[in-house]
Amino acid sequence: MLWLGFSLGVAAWCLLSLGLEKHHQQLFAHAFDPRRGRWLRALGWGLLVLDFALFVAGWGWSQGPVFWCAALMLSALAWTLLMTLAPRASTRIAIASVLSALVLMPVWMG
Amino acid sequence: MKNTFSQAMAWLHTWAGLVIGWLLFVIFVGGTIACFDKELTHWMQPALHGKTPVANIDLSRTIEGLQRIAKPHPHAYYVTLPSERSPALQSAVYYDAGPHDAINIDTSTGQAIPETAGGEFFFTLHYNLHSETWGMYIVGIAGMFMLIAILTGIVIHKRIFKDFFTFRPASGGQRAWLDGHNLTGVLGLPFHLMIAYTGVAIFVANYMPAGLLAAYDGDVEKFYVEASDSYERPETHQPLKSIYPIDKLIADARERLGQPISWVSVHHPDDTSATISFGGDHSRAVAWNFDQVFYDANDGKLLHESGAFKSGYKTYTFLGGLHMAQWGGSALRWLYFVLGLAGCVMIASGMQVWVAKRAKKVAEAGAWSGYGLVQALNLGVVGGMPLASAAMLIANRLIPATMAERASWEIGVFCAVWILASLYAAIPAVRSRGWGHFFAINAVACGLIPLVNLATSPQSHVFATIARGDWALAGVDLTALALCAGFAWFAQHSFAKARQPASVRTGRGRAARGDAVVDDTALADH
Repeated sequence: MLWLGFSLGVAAWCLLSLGLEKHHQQLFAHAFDPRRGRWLRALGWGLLVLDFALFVAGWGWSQGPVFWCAALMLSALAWTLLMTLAPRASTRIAIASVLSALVLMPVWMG
Repeated sequence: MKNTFSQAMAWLHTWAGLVIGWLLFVIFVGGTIACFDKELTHWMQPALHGKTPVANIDLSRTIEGLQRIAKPHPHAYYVTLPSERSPALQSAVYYDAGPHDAINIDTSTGQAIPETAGGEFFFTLHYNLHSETWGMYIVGIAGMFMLIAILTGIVIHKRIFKDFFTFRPASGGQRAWLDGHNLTGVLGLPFHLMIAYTGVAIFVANYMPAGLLAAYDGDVEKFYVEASDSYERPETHQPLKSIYPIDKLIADARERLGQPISWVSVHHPDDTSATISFGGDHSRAVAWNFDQVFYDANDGKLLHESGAFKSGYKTYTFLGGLHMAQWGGSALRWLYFVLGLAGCVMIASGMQVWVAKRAKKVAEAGAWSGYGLVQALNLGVVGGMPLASAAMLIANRLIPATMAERASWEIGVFCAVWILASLYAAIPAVRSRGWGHFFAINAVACGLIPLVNLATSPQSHVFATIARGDWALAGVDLTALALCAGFAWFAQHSFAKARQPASVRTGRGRAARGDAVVDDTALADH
């Protein structure tokens, strides 16, 4: 559960940074499209909200928001380090972490 | 106007940060380790490893044990029952002044276990530097300085959103340190703000006592009893015949509190005013759990049930609980631990920005200044404290279990290693060689923790604990290994940087190339 929340956070920060021209150029060779950038940023914000709902559902209203906030700070740090240290693999690692969390989900729930 | 304002803020950020930075680093490292204080204490009690605590505990016998060691006029006895995080039965006698006397018992044998400074050493260090009231005030001032540094930091960071995800370690020197400082500072901002604010708020009654002293006519004790809906009665100075059998009360206390009992205390245990109180732990909610029941120690009659807390006090317990992270299980403690590490990096890199920014100027001027002192303090504190902490854990395994004053020896090792490291850092030749060297020593020390554990303690080493599924203990060794890898990576990075020709390097790093190469091969040997 925490892994899913954390990796959704990584994915959200990934989308938010790819919605900015500066970081888009850092990761991709093709030109930055401002309209696509807006979509990516909107998706990123959407994921952050979804992540909040996930944490509240998992930990309740008093503990969930604290967990959410802590997980978001760490996922932002993780994403930034990933983008800097492994720019090529970064988006694939972000996708893989979300997928691994979704695959492992039934194991934890059961 | 705007220009002078932001310049003033930058000045304040620089100097408030520098002056208090080393102390703040110590507080942050201590607090970060204290996320796992109970787990670390357990790790430092190898006599208990691999044993299962007994469920039925004879509390009266435990109290008798305390009566045997108590000095005259004890203020209170406290007994904390074994739990998953702390399998030892902890008991202690507290006095009105001076240090307490403690016995920790292995419930499977009934024997006292060898004493250790434990994780509590780091917990106490981070809120009062082991200096009682004065230390608490110094830490409070450091906390307030940190709040100033955070707020001024936000004001002077003009590209706080533009540079939100920006980290350019390859650019080297001041740029890299500043990016590291900004990154850990900005992305961890909610945590830093929360931890500094709640840390100061916990001691609010001590830091801002004026209102309290005026309203309660100087009787601070009365304020605490009223605010926390506690119970206290004046001493009668008549000797108590015997303490009512505590074991008879525990079922009733559990029912009244509606939660498992985690501790019991006897106040004024030698006086007929004695009370017996019970309470639970803080694991179930964010706010501290101060629900208690009080019984008369003469006849076991119920005196008081607490629970009528006013909203101000509830807010206080929430802020305190948010800081202490005793709820949310190990998941939350890990989040806090890593965020704490990020805070340590923020402080250390911030002070390194100060050094890197001035490196060129000082090199050109060649004059004596505070520059060398700052550089040496950075190395001595930032490089020395993790080293001293690692040395203390190693000492825990090497000091014989039968040695008297064992905990003091552990602390002695901590202090001695830190002093030696600081003196070493103050040697000009070491100082100018820089960080790689200190990173490498720290990597070796952290790597030694699981190795010494493996060599000395058959029930405690990482293979035994993983085989038992005892992840709290294994976590200490694995974290030490992770820190070892982290320090080694940093060391290698610094050495690689120092080997580059001077024209490529920016900022500091005037290391003699020959020395750096020797260091690197030395590291490869380990």
